Amino acid sequence: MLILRLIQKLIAALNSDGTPGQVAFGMAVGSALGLTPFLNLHNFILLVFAFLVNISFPAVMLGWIVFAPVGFLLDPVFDRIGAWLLLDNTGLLSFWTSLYNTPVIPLSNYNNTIVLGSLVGWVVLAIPIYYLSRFGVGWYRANVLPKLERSKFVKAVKASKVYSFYRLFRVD
Amino acid sequence: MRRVLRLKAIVPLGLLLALSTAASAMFMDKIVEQAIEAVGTDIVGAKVELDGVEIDLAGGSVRLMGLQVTNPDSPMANLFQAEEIVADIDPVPLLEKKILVDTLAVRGLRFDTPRETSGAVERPAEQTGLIRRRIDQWAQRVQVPAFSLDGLTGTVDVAALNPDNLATPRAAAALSGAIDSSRTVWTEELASLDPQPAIDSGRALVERLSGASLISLGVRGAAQSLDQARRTLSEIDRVRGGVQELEADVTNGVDSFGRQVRGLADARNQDIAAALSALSIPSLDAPDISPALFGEVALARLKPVLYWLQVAEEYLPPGLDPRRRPGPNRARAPGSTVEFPKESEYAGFAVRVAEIDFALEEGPAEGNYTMLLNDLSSAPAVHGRPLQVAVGRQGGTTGPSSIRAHAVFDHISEISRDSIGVGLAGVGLPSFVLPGLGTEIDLGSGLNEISLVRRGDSLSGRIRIQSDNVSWSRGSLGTGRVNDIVWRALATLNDVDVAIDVGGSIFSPRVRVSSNVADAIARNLRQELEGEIRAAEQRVRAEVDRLVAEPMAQARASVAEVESTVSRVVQGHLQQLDAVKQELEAKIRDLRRMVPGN
Repeated sequence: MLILRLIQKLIAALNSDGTPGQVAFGMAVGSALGLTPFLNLHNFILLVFAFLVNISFPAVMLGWIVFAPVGFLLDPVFDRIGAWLLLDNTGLLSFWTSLYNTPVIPLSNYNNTIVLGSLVGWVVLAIPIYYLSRFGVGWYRANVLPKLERSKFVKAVKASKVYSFYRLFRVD
Repeated sequence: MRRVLRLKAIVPLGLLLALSTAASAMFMDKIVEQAIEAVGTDIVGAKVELDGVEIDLAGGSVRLMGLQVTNPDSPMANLFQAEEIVADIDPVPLLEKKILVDTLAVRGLRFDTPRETSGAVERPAEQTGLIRRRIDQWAQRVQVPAFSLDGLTGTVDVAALNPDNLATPRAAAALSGAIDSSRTVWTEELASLDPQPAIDSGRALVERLSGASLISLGVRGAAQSLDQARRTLSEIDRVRGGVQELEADVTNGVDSFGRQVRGLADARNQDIAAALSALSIPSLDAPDISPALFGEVALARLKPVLYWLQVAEEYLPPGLDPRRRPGPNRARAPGSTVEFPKESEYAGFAVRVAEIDFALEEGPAEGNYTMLLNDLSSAPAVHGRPLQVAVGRQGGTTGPSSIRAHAVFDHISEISRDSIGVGLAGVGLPSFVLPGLGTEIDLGSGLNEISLVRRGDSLSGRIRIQSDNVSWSRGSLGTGRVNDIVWRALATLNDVDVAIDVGGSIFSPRVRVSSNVADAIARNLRQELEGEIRAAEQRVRAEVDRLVAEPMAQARASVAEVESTVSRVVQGHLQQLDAVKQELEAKIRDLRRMVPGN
């Protein structure tokens, strides 16, 4: 039931719930959950942020789902980025050392190559993800959604009992 | 305009966080238990299990109950188990993800206890058991010589020596082959240089110009002769350069071959030693006998000491450089986690004071003990104080009458300084069979001392086993004159003193074993059998000499031949070229005076 509601919310997010900017912001925040290892302090902070700020929460979930496999695929790249930043770049050594010995900061696991590499990767990718998502949602709503709604398939689905069942759980 | 904040989400979010915190507090004991088991299993490479964990956040204490650490080499036994471990933890460093234990008390520690189920893990990490494997590999490389009296009890059959097993003939044949190849190459090079036409041409010109004057040559003729002399000199210089290079090659080569021929004498000595060993003719030198008799005992005593030194090296690394270790186990790749230690801060893990009560239930050191640890730290340079360990005996009906055990692992500076001193008096010493003899020795009770010092890479120290109440049993030692001599030497020995001297480094130590047992055996054999052993040795030496004489002579002859042919020919050419060059240069000086402007 929860999954069905989530799917409804995702469809609603794409179709009409929120402005393209809110959806894109949600996607950008959600991509952090997917690109970086989930159980980390920064993701907790981002989740609280997503709850509190008026962005599309279904889009956050969508971003998480879409970017989780990308995160797995890019782990070797993140590992190299993290290793370069933490170990190879001697200019940053004193910075990392002071962070490591500052209360709370080490709890963020920043000193793990994958965590740091993926976080940096996300920071770099967040802005392109935001703009691409914003463009994509606008384009979808302008070009794809009207055609979909006019299509015989969607009309047939909407007339079916399955759709009636779906509406029972629809978020309005 | 839409609001930026979702105000209605604040209350549910607060409730969610409060629920999460409450759930974490409720399940914290279980979470910590599982974390300790997982991390411990990763480090040990075999199951680490706990019966339970109690965490008192307000009091800052942690109590671990029923700890079992499986022996990775024997999964049905525990390396150790402890009934209870209580740690008082300083809460402030936890904010930096560091653990500082103020006091640690371990009760009911026992070693090598049986397990009900196997503690093996399916896929141990690569690093698991690495130190133990490294030490075992080192021990396998140490060659404990064999000791046998067979060569003295039977007839020495020197004809049984196999020439194919001797290294000298092989080395000599290889050397002769190398000399032949070099000679061929040098001869071909000399032929391609062909200095004789240049020498002849130079000589002819010098002869033609001898007695020539401006009147006989004329100005034009003198100028032409000068040109020709210069061209000839240039050609001689070119040829001479080539011959000089060849001469350097030949000289170096001949020198090298000479050294290798002299080195064959060492190979011959090694062949003689190998032949003596193969024919079981023992050395009568005590330093050769001790490693054969007590080499295995020495390795068995030294291995645990090396193990703990290397463990300290691994887990108490000196210095303040960033440290890389594998990241956590998770669905995502683990990556590497880097620690950035800093002086005067908290170490990643430190225990200020630990008191460990343990019992040895079996073996010669049976009894109850207390170990005091001060300043155990994963980053000694950060912690600023060396780890100190002291062990005292609390009681027991058997076991050593007195014990002195202390160790200091000072890894604060880049140069590690470790020292271990252990002295067990009145401790039960092992019984074992002397290798090669079959005689059984029961060392009774006595003194076992370990004294080791490590400074940087250098390791030095001594392990000593001493007893004055030894008993002997003839065991499988045969009868006959030689065996009886050995038995008389051993049976009268009441005191045994074995010293294992250690040098080198902790990763590649050198071991030297000495003992009064070997002295006694050597002395008795020497008194009664020296003549016979020397005679047998002479026969073996003579046989080896006979087998290696021809190839050695052949190698020497090859070097002499190269010296007398190629080397001398090349040097002869060089001398001729030098002589012609000097004469030509003199003629050129004369001609230049005849030709204006030259």
